[in-house]
Amino acid sequence: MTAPDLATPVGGWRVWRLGADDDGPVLESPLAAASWTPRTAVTAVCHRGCGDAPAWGCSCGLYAVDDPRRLVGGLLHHGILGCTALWGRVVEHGDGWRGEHSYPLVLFVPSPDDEVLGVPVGALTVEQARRAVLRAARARRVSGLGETLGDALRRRYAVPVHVLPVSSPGAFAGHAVGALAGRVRDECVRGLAARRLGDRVAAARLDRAVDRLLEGLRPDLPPLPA
Amino acid sequence: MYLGEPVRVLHVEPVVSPVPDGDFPEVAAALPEPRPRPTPRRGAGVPPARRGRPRPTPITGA
Repeated sequence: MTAPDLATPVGGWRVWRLGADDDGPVLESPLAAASWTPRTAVTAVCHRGCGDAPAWGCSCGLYAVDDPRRLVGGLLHHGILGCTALWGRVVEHGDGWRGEHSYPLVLFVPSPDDEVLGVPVGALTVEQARRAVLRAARARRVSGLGETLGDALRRRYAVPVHVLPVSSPGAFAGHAVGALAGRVRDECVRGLAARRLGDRVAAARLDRAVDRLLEGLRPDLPPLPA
Repeated sequence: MYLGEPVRVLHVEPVVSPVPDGDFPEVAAALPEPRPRPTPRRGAGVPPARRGRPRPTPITGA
Protein backbone atom coordinates (compact mmCIF):
# COMPACT_ATOMS: atom_id res chain seq x y z
CA MET A 1 0.00 0.00 0.00
CA THR A 2 1.41 3.37 -1.01
CA ALA A 3 0.29 6.79 0.12
CA PRO A 4 -1.13 8.98 -2.65
CA ASP A 5 0.95 11.89 -3.89
CA LEU A 6 -2.10 14.16 -4.19
CA ALA A 7 -5.52 14.19 -2.51
CA THR A 8 -7.01 16.54 -5.11
CA PRO A 9 -7.24 15.74 -8.81
CA VAL A 10 -4.86 17.23 -11.33
CA GLY A 11 -6.57 19.87 -13.44
CA GLY A 12 -5.76 20.50 -17.08
CA TRP A 13 -7.20 21.96 -20.27
CA ARG A 14 -8.37 19.86 -23.17
CA VAL A 15 -10.80 19.90 -26.11
CA TRP A 16 -13.68 17.57 -26.84
CA ARG A 17 -15.49 16.90 -30.06
CA LEU A 18 -19.26 17.18 -29.93
CA GLY A 19 -21.13 13.92 -30.37
CA ALA A 20 -24.61 12.80 -29.44
CA ASP A 21 -26.61 9.86 -28.16
CA ASP A 22 -30.35 9.39 -27.64
CA ASP A 23 -30.47 11.79 -24.70
CA GLY A 24 -28.39 14.67 -25.99
CA PRO A 25 -24.86 15.86 -26.63
CA VAL A 26 -21.86 13.76 -25.62
CA LEU A 27 -18.23 14.76 -25.27
CA GLU A 28 -15.89 12.68 -27.41
CA SER A 29 -12.19 12.56 -27.92
CA PRO A 30 -11.18 14.42 -31.10
CA LEU A 31 -8.35 11.98 -31.79
CA ALA A 32 -9.34 8.59 -30.38
CA ALA A 33 -12.47 6.47 -30.26
CA ALA A 34 -13.43 7.42 -26.72
CA SER A 35 -16.39 9.24 -25.26
CA TRP A 36 -17.08 10.79 -21.87
CA THR A 37 -20.32 9.26 -20.63
CA PRO A 38 -22.25 11.81 -18.51
CA ARG A 39 -21.77 11.41 -14.75
CA THR A 40 -19.27 8.58 -15.23
CA ALA A 41 -15.52 8.75 -14.98
CA VAL A 42 -13.81 7.72 -18.20
CA THR A 43 -10.87 5.35 -17.79
CA ALA A 44 -7.90 5.18 -20.13
CA VAL A 45 -7.29 2.03 -22.15
CA CYS A 46 -4.12 1.41 -24.12
CA HIS A 47 -4.67 -0.02 -27.59
CA ARG A 48 -1.04 -1.13 -27.72
CA GLY A 49 -1.52 -3.42 -24.77
CA CYS A 50 0.01 -1.51 -21.87
CA GLY A 51 -1.06 -3.10 -18.65
CA ASP A 52 -1.75 0.04 -16.69
CA ALA A 53 -2.46 3.08 -18.81
CA PRO A 54 -0.99 5.64 -18.86
CA ALA A 55 2.41 3.98 -19.08
CA TRP A 56 5.68 5.89 -18.78
CA GLY A 57 7.09 4.89 -22.15
CA CYS A 58 3.84 4.91 -24.14
CA SER A 59 1.54 7.64 -25.46
CA CYS A 60 -1.62 6.18 -23.94
CA GLY A 61 -3.81 7.91 -21.38
CA LEU A 62 -6.24 10.80 -21.18
CA TYR A 63 -4.52 14.06 -22.13
CA ALA A 64 -4.69 17.54 -20.65
CA VAL A 65 -2.36 20.54 -20.93
CA ASP A 66 -1.45 23.25 -18.45
CA ASP A 67 -2.30 26.17 -20.77
CA PRO A 68 -5.16 26.26 -23.30
CA ARG A 69 -2.89 28.06 -25.75
CA ARG A 70 -0.89 24.85 -26.11
CA LEU A 71 -3.86 23.14 -27.74
CA VAL A 72 -3.09 23.17 -31.41
CA GLY A 73 -5.37 25.03 -33.78
CA GLY A 74 -6.85 22.04 -35.53
CA LEU A 75 -8.26 20.77 -32.26
CA LEU A 76 -9.47 24.11 -31.01
CA HIS A 77 -11.40 25.16 -34.08
CA HIS A 78 -14.11 22.55 -33.85
CA GLY A 79 -14.14 21.62 -30.21
CA ILE A 80 -15.65 22.21 -26.83
CA LEU A 81 -12.97 23.60 -24.57
CA GLY A 82 -12.86 22.65 -20.92
CA CYS A 83 -10.90 22.01 -17.80
CA THR A 84 -10.80 18.37 -16.81
CA ALA A 85 -9.86 16.48 -13.69
CA LEU A 86 -7.30 13.70 -13.98
CA TRP A 87 -6.72 11.18 -11.24
CA GLY A 88 -5.56 7.66 -10.58
CA ARG A 89 -2.19 7.06 -12.22
CA VAL A 90 -1.05 10.35 -13.75
CA VAL A 91 2.11 10.83 -15.81
CA GLU A 92 3.30 14.42 -15.54
CA HIS A 93 5.00 15.91 -18.61
CA GLY A 94 6.66 19.24 -19.19
CA ASP A 95 3.53 20.78 -20.74
CA GLY A 96 0.70 18.65 -19.41
CA TRP A 97 -0.43 15.32 -18.06
CA ARG A 98 -1.68 11.91 -19.13
CA GLY A 99 -4.18 10.46 -16.68
CA GLU A 100 -5.92 7.21 -15.90
CA HIS A 101 -9.35 8.70 -15.09
CA SER A 102 -10.95 11.91 -16.32
CA TYR A 103 -14.11 13.95 -15.89
CA PRO A 104 -14.77 17.56 -16.97
CA LEU A 105 -14.88 20.25 -14.27
CA VAL A 106 -15.96 23.24 -16.37
CA LEU A 107 -16.86 23.57 -20.06
CA PHE A 108 -16.77 26.45 -22.54
CA VAL A 109 -18.89 26.41 -25.67
CA PRO A 110 -18.20 28.86 -28.49
CA SER A 111 -20.71 31.63 -28.94
CA PRO A 112 -23.33 31.50 -30.23
CA ASP A 113 -24.55 27.90 -30.17
CA ASP A 114 -25.28 28.04 -33.86
CA GLU A 115 -21.59 28.42 -34.50
CA VAL A 116 -21.02 25.05 -32.85
CA LEU A 117 -23.87 23.46 -34.73
CA GLY A 118 -22.34 24.81 -37.91
CA VAL A 119 -19.04 23.17 -36.96
CA PRO A 120 -16.33 25.13 -38.78
CA VAL A 121 -14.50 22.66 -40.93
CA GLY A 122 -11.01 23.34 -39.61
CA ALA A 123 -9.02 20.12 -39.73
CA LEU A 124 -12.11 17.97 -40.35
CA THR A 125 -12.93 16.54 -43.71
CA VAL A 126 -16.19 17.68 -45.26
CA GLU A 127 -17.82 14.34 -44.56
CA GLN A 128 -16.74 14.39 -40.94
CA ALA A 129 -18.07 17.92 -40.54
CA ARG A 130 -21.39 16.93 -42.09
CA ARG A 131 -21.77 14.01 -39.70
CA ALA A 132 -20.87 16.25 -36.75
CA VAL A 133 -23.54 18.75 -37.77
CA LEU A 134 -26.14 16.00 -38.03
CA ARG A 135 -25.21 14.62 -34.63
CA ALA A 136 -25.33 18.06 -33.03
CA ALA A 137 -28.68 18.86 -34.64
CA ARG A 138 -30.07 15.55 -33.44
CA ALA A 139 -28.86 16.27 -29.95
CA ARG A 140 -30.52 19.66 -29.99
CA ARG A 141 -33.82 18.20 -31.12
CA VAL A 142 -34.03 15.44 -28.52
CA SER A 143 -32.86 17.59 -25.62
CA GLY A 144 -36.02 19.67 -25.54
CA LEU A 145 -37.44 22.73 -27.16
CA GLY A 146 -35.41 25.83 -26.58
CA GLU A 147 -32.64 24.03 -24.75
CA THR A 148 -29.35 25.37 -25.92
CA LEU A 149 -26.28 23.26 -26.30
CA GLY A 150 -24.86 24.79 -23.13
CA ASP A 151 -28.01 23.93 -21.17
CA ALA A 152 -27.96 20.37 -22.46
CA LEU A 153 -24.32 19.89 -21.51
CA ARG A 154 -24.94 21.38 -18.06
CA ARG A 155 -27.92 19.08 -17.50
CA ARG A 156 -26.11 15.95 -18.62
CA TYR A 157 -22.63 16.47 -17.16
CA ALA A 158 -23.70 18.51 -14.09
CA VAL A 159 -20.75 20.88 -14.42
CA PRO A 160 -20.72 24.65 -15.05
CA VAL A 161 -20.94 25.52 -18.75
CA HIS A 162 -19.94 28.98 -19.97
CA VAL A 163 -20.24 30.61 -23.35
CA LEU A 164 -17.06 31.98 -24.83
CA PRO A 165 -17.37 35.56 -26.11
CA VAL A 166 -15.73 34.44 -29.33
CA SER A 167 -16.89 32.09 -32.04
CA SER A 168 -13.97 29.71 -31.67
CA PRO A 169 -11.86 28.55 -28.74
CA GLY A 170 -8.94 29.18 -31.06
CA ALA A 171 -9.14 32.84 -30.01
CA PHE A 172 -7.20 31.83 -26.90
CA ALA A 173 -4.10 31.85 -29.02
CA GLY A 174 -4.46 35.55 -29.79
CA HIS A 175 -5.04 36.83 -26.25
CA ALA A 176 -2.73 37.20 -23.27
CA VAL A 177 -4.92 35.19 -20.92
CA GLY A 178 -2.48 32.56 -19.75
CA ALA A 179 -2.50 33.71 -16.12
CA LEU A 180 -6.30 34.03 -16.08
CA ALA A 181 -6.69 30.53 -17.51
CA GLY A 182 -4.27 29.27 -14.87
CA ARG A 183 -6.44 30.75 -12.12
CA VAL A 184 -9.51 29.02 -13.53
CA ARG A 185 -7.64 25.71 -13.64
CA ASP A 186 -6.40 26.11 -10.06
CA GLU A 187 -9.79 27.11 -8.72
CA CYS A 188 -11.54 24.24 -10.49
CA VAL A 189 -9.43 21.78 -8.54
CA ARG A 190 -8.86 23.63 -5.27
CA GLY A 191 -12.53 24.35 -4.61
CA LEU A 192 -13.89 21.03 -5.85
CA ALA A 193 -14.63 19.50 -2.45
CA ALA A 194 -16.24 22.68 -1.12
CA ARG A 195 -18.43 23.09 -4.22
CA ARG A 196 -19.60 19.50 -3.93
CA LEU A 197 -20.70 20.20 -0.36
CA GLY A 198 -22.73 23.20 -1.51
CA ASP A 199 -20.30 25.96 -0.50
CA ARG A 200 -21.59 28.98 -2.40
CA VAL A 201 -18.45 30.98 -1.65
CA ALA A 202 -16.32 28.39 -3.43
CA ALA A 203 -18.74 28.37 -6.37
CA ALA A 204 -18.61 32.17 -6.53
CA ARG A 205 -14.81 32.07 -6.46
CA LEU A 206 -14.77 29.86 -9.54
CA ASP A 207 -17.36 32.05 -11.24
CA ARG A 208 -15.21 35.14 -10.61
CA ALA A 209 -12.15 33.45 -12.07
CA VAL A 210 -14.15 32.40 -15.14
CA ASP A 211 -15.61 35.90 -15.53
CA ARG A 212 -12.13 37.41 -15.50
CA LEU A 213 -11.02 34.95 -18.17
CA LEU A 214 -14.04 35.68 -20.36
CA GLU A 215 -13.46 39.44 -20.01
CA GLY A 216 -9.90 38.90 -21.16
CA LEU A 217 -11.15 37.13 -24.27
CA ARG A 218 -13.72 39.74 -25.32
CA PRO A 219 -12.62 41.30 -28.59
CA ASP A 220 -14.44 44.60 -27.85
CA LEU A 221 -12.45 45.29 -24.68
CA PRO A 222 -8.87 46.58 -24.59
CA PRO A 223 -6.24 43.95 -23.85
CA LEU A 224 -5.48 43.33 -20.20
CA PRO A 225 -2.29 44.80 -18.76
CA ALA A 226 0.52 42.30 -18.54
CA MET B 1 -0.32 15.68 -29.16
CA TYR B 2 3.16 16.19 -27.73
CA LEU B 3 3.24 17.09 -24.04
CA GLY B 4 6.99 17.30 -23.61
CA GLU B 5 9.21 14.87 -21.80
CA PRO B 6 7.70 12.81 -18.98
CA VAL B 7 8.77 14.12 -15.59
CA ARG B 8 7.27 11.85 -12.95
CA VAL B 9 4.39 9.52 -12.17
CA LEU B 10 1.83 10.67 -9.64
CA HIS B 11 -0.61 8.54 -7.72
CA VAL B 12 -3.67 10.76 -7.28
CA GLU B 13 -6.55 9.78 -5.00
CA PRO B 14 -9.05 12.64 -4.67
CA VAL B 15 -10.82 12.88 -1.33
CA VAL B 16 -13.97 13.97 -3.18
CA SER B 17 -14.83 12.32 -6.46
CA PRO B 18 -14.72 14.73 -9.39
CA VAL B 19 -17.78 12.96 -10.83
CA PRO B 20 -21.00 14.64 -9.65
CA ASP B 21 -23.59 12.28 -8.26
CA GLY B 22 -26.63 14.47 -8.30
CA ASP B 23 -25.38 17.06 -5.85
CA PHE B 24 -24.79 19.81 -8.36
CA PRO B 25 -25.61 22.61 -9.00
CA GLU B 26 -28.65 23.37 -6.82
CA VAL B 27 -28.69 20.53 -4.31
CA ALA B 28 -25.88 20.13 -1.85
CA ALA B 29 -24.42 16.75 -1.06
CA ALA B 30 -26.40 14.81 1.54
CA LEU B 31 -24.63 14.82 4.87
CA PRO B 32 -25.30 12.07 7.44
CA GLU B 33 -27.79 12.85 10.20
CA PRO B 34 -26.11 13.98 13.43
CA ARG B 35 -25.91 11.27 16.07
CA PRO B 36 -28.31 11.75 19.01
CA ARG B 37 -26.77 13.21 22.11
CA PRO B 38 -26.70 10.94 25.18
CA THR B 39 -29.48 11.55 27.69
CA PRO B 40 -29.48 10.63 31.42
CA ARG B 41 -31.07 7.35 32.47
CA ARG B 42 -34.60 7.41 33.78
CA GLY B 43 -34.57 7.97 37.53
CA ALA B 44 -31.06 9.17 37.58
CA GLY B 45 -30.51 11.84 40.18
CA VAL B 46 -29.69 15.38 39.44
CA PRO B 47 -25.96 15.62 39.11
CA PRO B 48 -24.32 17.83 41.72
CA ALA B 49 -23.60 21.34 40.65
CA ARG B 50 -20.10 21.72 39.42
CA ARG B 51 -17.93 24.02 41.40
CA GLY B 52 -15.86 26.56 39.69
CA ARG B 53 -12.14 26.34 39.92
CA PRO B 54 -10.77 28.10 42.99
CA ARG B 55 -9.22 31.37 42.11
CA PRO B 56 -5.63 31.82 43.14
CA THR B 57 -5.04 34.35 45.84
CA PRO B 58 -3.32 37.37 44.42
CA ILE B 59 0.17 37.72 45.69
CA THR B 60 1.10 41.18 46.73
CA GLY B 61 4.42 42.63 47.60
CA ALA B 62 6.43 39.92 45.94
